[in-house]
Amino acid sequence: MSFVPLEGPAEYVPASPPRDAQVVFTSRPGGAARVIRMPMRGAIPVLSRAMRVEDAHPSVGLLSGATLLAMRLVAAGRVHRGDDGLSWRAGPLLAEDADRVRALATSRAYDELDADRAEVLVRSLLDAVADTMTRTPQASRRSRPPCADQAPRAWAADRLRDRPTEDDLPAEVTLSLRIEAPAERLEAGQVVVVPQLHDREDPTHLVDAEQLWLATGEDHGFARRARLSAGKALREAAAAWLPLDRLLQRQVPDRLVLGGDDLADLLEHGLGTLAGIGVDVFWPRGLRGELTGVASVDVVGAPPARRTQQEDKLMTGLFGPEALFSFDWRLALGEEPADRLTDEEMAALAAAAAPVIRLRDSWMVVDPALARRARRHLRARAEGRARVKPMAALQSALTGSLEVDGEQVTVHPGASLRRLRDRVTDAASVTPLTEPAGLVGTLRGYQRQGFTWLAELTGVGLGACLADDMGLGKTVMLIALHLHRRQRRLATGPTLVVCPASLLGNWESEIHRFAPGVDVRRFHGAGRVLATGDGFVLTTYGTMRRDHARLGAVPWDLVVADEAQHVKNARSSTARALRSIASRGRVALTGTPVENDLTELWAILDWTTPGLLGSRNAFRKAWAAPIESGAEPAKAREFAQLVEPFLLRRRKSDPGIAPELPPKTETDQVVPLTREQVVLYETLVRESMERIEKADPEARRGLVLALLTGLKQICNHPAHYLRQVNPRLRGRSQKIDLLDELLGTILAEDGAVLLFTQYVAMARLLERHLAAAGIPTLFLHGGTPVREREAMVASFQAGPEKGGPPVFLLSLKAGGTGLNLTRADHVIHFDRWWNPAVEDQATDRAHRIGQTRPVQVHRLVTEGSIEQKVGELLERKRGLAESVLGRGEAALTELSDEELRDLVTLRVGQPPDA
Amino acid sequence: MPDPLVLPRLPRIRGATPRGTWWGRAWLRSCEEAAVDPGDLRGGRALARSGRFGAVMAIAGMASAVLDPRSEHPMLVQVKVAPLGAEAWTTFVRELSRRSGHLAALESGDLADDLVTGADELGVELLPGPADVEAACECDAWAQPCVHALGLATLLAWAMDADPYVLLLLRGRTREWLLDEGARELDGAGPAAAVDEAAGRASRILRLADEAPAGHGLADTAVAAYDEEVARLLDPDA
Repeated sequence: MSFVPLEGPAEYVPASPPRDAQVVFTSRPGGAARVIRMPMRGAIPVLSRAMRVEDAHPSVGLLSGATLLAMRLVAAGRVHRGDDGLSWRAGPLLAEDADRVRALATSRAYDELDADRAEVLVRSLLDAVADTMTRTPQASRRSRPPCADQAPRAWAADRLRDRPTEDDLPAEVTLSLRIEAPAERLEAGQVVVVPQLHDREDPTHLVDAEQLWLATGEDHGFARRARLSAGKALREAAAAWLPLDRLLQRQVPDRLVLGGDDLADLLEHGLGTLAGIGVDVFWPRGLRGELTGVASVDVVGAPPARRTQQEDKLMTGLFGPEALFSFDWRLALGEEPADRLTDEEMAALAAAAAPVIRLRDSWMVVDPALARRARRHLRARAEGRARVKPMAALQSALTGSLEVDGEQVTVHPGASLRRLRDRVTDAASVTPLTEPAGLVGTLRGYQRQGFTWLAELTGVGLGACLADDMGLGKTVMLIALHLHRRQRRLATGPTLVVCPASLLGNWESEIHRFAPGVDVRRFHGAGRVLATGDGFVLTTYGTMRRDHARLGAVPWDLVVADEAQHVKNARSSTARALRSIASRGRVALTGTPVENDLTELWAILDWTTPGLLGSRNAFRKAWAAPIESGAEPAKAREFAQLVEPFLLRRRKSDPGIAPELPPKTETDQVVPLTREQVVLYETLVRESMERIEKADPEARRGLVLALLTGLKQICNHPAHYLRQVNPRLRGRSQKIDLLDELLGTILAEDGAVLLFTQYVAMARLLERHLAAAGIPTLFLHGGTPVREREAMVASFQAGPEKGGPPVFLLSLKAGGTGLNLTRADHVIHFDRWWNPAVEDQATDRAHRIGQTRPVQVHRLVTEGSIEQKVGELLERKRGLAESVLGRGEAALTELSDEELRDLVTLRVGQPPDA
Repeated sequence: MPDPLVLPRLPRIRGATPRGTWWGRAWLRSCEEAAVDPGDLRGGRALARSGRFGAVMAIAGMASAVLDPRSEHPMLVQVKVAPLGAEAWTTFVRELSRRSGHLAALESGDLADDLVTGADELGVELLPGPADVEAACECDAWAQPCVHALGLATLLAWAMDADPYVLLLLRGRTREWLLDEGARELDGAGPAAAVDEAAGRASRILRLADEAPAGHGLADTAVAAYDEEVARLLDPDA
């Protein structure tokens, strides 16, 4: 304040209440160079020392002397309440005080001011100092809370007319707190709490505590006893929020100044506990701005909003391991981008010692939790930790939320990330790329679309799972991708294909056919050598598992997992080995991504695009459990939104996909059980159910599986169940009789048959049976060596002219995938698989591209048995696959105890054969 | 807190009684010290629990009750407490009014520790000492307070645990008197404490002014420091 000019005349401007008086200092007599107008609070320090300033103007000397005189009166306790009851006056003046006033006025009178007028001025200033000292000026400048529209005084007057005596005035009050925040307080990081009391019967009738204590019922319309009620209410409030106890330390609980720490505590704890006891806190409008956190994720160093050619190149590999995404969290005053705080504003907010900051020309009280979060985020950013892993960034762009510090926050993707997201979500529908050079033959429309989809995703560093139906040409799409990446110079190494042993030959011949000249090597068998060029390396899951260290040392461009359901168990050593092999891109090929369990789908996608679906447990909890329970139908749809961009599945039945494919007719051939089968069946059910009902959950599971397997074997043939060597087959199972009939018809029409059973033992019985009947067969099972399989397939496809047997017997597990067996126009399922998707895969060996005749599918089912009842379950499982990939609403239903019993109990229909 | 105050008869108490408030225990301690036989307090306590006392009647400075009122030999027991003088009560009321929380505490059944301490520092001992307690009883005990008087003192301790105004009544003033005087203290010439408090700050400002720097140039740090310090004294809340 040393800039206050004292050499010019100072003018004292009285006011009412006296503390609102002002002093106007000027810098030069007569001049107007500098004028400083100060309230008493600011003027008193200056005036208290101005006596000692030699060149001070006489008017300053007068005011200074008066100030010191007033201060002596206050120090002596000679102040009293004014007539209004709310302000203070100096005095009563003793004789000696009056003398001093007179002496001062006389000695300090000057040209423009005679002693009499000087004395009036001095007396007025004494009151102003007394009122300023004894009472703080704050109370006179209060604003009414929003609930008090009427002037309280007038209100009270009205009321008093009706209810004349003190005893009739309200005495029971409730408490609320009003926050006052004048600029000079906010400047210091403070606000003022003013307690106000409401008539319990009529809360709109209210009074400040200061008035209640100091004024009378005529003024405020409350009984004097209301103070007692108010005191109790304040005590309760102080118990709820301790700093209020300081109000009770005051003679009049008029107001409480809250510094930064108290204010922070009020915001964090006080508001809650006070609300808990019904004490409202009113804030000045706008002070607690509607600040909310807004999170965004974007590419680090994202170029300006306009999309350029340059950026397209930059986007390549954006989701690769070296990609960087920034996570930004900031506060915003509203919805518009301009409402978001700038870096400078965030820094100011984080640095503020008190929860009061000045933002865009207005003051604001900021919740400490938000300020802490701002600090945390700024620190993280300063330390380079405000990063999001590429997959989390992508997930947030797809779902609009991100888990940060254990909580889900809503996230806005930045412009670059948004374009990236659009590119990913549009990948399956963009204009298809032209076929790459070096590809022989023409890709069909959907194949070009699929290949483009693969190129788009791998192009930005993402993996993909191509789940087209069997026979739609996944292999050729992958070969096109391989060529495309070379043509665009994206590839940095060879392509590794991991597939079941039975498919090695298929891959090799397809590559030779569609991309002749491309190097293909097998890494398989004893004495294998890992030689890599720029082409394909083919290996099996088993070899890959054993040799993953050697394979992992190669800088692969792509790793392709064909029949990716082999890695559906993420904990298996095969899956772990596959995960250990690095590459720039990963593609899973499968006809059935959802076999039994969404966790298996997780395993495949977590390999192709690690991190997208979160950890196994997180995925289980967030998605799999709710979807499979069927409790949250919307979950399946949400999940579909998340995985859809990474999963491309076309059906043969989809319009425009495979129009040339002939129809497929499926027939359940129902046969009764023989007497022998019934006896075995019922005995097994009876004995097993007894044990199952007594078993603990772990053992129960095993017993149930054993029971189901046993029943299915009985349904196939008693000899199968009884493991008989060289048994008599005919007449013991009607499936055999029906098979003979079917084969008779088919072979008479020069047809060819795929005969599936999931049991190798049953297949051997059938092989013996057919050989005895003079029907030549091929038999492929899990133990068949790779070379032999390829020879078998070639022999069967060659047809009768070249001596190919008309019946191909396959044990489903080995023969279910990848094989191209289009010569067959009939498919017989001797027994039912537990999974409709696997059964379809088997059927699709014959019903695929290259098939020219209608395909008939025969499923042999024993009547009233578990086989028939399982049919119903299968339909429901089909629903699960649809719900994830086709957005259906059904979900997997687990077997309950009752369902199990119902399932295994033989339904008695017609009596068995006599 | 009317005068006389009638505390209804307590039935026989089985089981534990609460530990009591600090002022109730202080009251009992004074009575105990006044007693000749330290064991009598326990006897008095047993008597208070027995339910044998009739209703207690308290007026300013005194309380009385009849032991075994329906027996053939009812006994009148009295406890007298030296009342505080008028001046002491004025001081006490001023102290009471110095903080709004004091009265709020009393109204909530609490006696603020610092109210009693503050009054004590001004020479007003609200809690009676052993010398302030006098007892009279119709029994033929040779010394007072007898076991019966200690029984009555125990009943009074329980009563003041529940309502500290009972203690103030025994010291000579009713709640109504206190409320009226407290209000008058606020309504009158001025709340003394506010005036005192302002006087303290004014004295400090005067002391500072005696040593005030004489310069007033721009950027005079001594002047700036002075102004700041005085400003702080003007607004002690800041």
